[in-house]
Amino acid sequence: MRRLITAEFRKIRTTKLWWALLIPAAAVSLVFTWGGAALGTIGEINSGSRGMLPIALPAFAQGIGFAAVFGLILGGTAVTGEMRHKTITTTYLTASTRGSVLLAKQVAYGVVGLLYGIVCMIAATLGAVFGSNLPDAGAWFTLAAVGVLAMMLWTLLGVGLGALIGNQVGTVVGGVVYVLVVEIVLNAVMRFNDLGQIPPYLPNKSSGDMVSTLAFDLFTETSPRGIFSAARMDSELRDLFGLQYSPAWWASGLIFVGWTVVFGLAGHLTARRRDIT
Amino acid sequence: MHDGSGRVVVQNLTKTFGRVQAVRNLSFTVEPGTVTGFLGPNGAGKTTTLRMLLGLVTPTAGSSTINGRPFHSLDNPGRVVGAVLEAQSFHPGRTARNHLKVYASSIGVPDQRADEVLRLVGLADAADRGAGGFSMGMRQRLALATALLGDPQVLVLDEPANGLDPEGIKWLRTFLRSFARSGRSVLVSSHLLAEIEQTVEQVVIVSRGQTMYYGSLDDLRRSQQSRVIVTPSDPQALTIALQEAGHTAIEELPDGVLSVTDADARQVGDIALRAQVAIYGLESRHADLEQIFFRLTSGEFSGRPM
Repeated sequence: MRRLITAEFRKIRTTKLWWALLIPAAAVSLVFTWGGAALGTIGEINSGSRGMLPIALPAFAQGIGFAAVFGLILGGTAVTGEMRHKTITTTYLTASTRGSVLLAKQVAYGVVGLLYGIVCMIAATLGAVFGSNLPDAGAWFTLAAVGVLAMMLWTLLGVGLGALIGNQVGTVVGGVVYVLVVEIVLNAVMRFNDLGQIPPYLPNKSSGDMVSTLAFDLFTETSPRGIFSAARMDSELRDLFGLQYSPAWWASGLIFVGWTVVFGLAGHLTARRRDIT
Repeated sequence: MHDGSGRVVVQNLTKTFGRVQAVRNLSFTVEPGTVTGFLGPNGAGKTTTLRMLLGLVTPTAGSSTINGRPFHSLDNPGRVVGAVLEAQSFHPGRTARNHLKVYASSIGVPDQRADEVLRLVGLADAADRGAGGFSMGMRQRLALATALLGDPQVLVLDEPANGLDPEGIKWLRTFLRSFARSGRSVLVSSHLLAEIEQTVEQVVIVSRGQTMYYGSLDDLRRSQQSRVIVTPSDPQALTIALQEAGHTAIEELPDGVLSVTDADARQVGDIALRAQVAIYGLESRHADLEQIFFRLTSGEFSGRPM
């Protein structure tokens, strides 16, 4: 098993894709937090002497949501890239079982997803520094840790999705279109039809909620006193962030972990039976 | 553990893709120390059979073993069997050496094995080039290098001569023979008999997914009727005399030459003497392997159409 994991790391390292996707992921994280941090300083001016709003927190959460798409793409190529370049034949011929190949990929891509998350977190921190609005360190690193987790889970979900679909273009285009278009439309349609309690169980919304709900909690906790004291204000803000139906951040996290496991298992079952012709 | 023999056994393999029966009830054995040719026209089911043997395609029925075990039960298959298949390729951006290092790690052989096999197949100079820029012949060599990484007992090659220049084909023949001479097994497919005729000890000839012949090439030669080519003074008279004597498989060739397949040269000579027909030329000819191969695979002998 260790040999197969090493082989997977070598596969990732010896091609350019991993850093070609890491650069935009880090850039997205940086730009989102920078923008949010800058907005927060404007808020400071508007709210007088009460102190600045830590808008960098929710902005960071949004940024992670978009940056994670690159993790999804990277993970999506784990199996499909090998199918496309027909190296999957050699891979299967040199491993004891197909299951062990997929497991090795999940370990290796999990680690790379973790690395992606850490790099994006550093980029986001730089963004907050550039925007001269670095929030409370404790809140920041709590959120960053959950952001890293989101990135890792999306990368793993991509591995499962790719193993399930098998075709690279189908996996990447399908995955990205689902995250950036389909689920957002579904979410809106359901909310306008009084079905707003369903979207928090969908993959992208649950992952987004995990980060955003925590960011929101930290945002209200660390905002200057008196701004969000009223319960009514709190619920209006939740509406604004689209979190009115969302469970606690950790519950959303568990839902998303569930999706990652479902796709991982489906990928295993499909890829193990697929004829390589 | 497996028995370590290097024997490959294919038993009653059948594969159906949708409504198409690609392989029908195919059986053969590859004995250690031999090169077995797997012959058949394109589309005969050779590639599908090899992929079933290697666990890449699940058979509809039947089974196959390498070293007495199904492929999926081999603990470290890269050490037992190496394969050069058409469905195998390389990431265009990954260098030849890095490609080999990936699989050296999978199999668990040291990294310097990558350089060893590169030298063995004559690709040492191209080690740091991306496989995307390789010619067909270089790709075949890199595929062979990959197959040899684990120093396997069994080598399976699907149309390995495709894309190789004549020099490369000659090199491959020598290589396969010496590989088999060291007690290991080689199964090599081809759609051209001439390509592997000089290399193989036994052949499996398939057509439309079925075995048409399985055995040694010499036996195949002997199994086929020889024919007698005779140039008589009076072809018609000789034909009548032969027919009266019960030999009816007579074919008229140009310039009054006759071809007789159900009599030997002596019988034809005796009959001609009795019929008072002079003979200007008489020879018995053994069937050419290429013709046998063609007859075996050209549909009319392949049973019911699909």
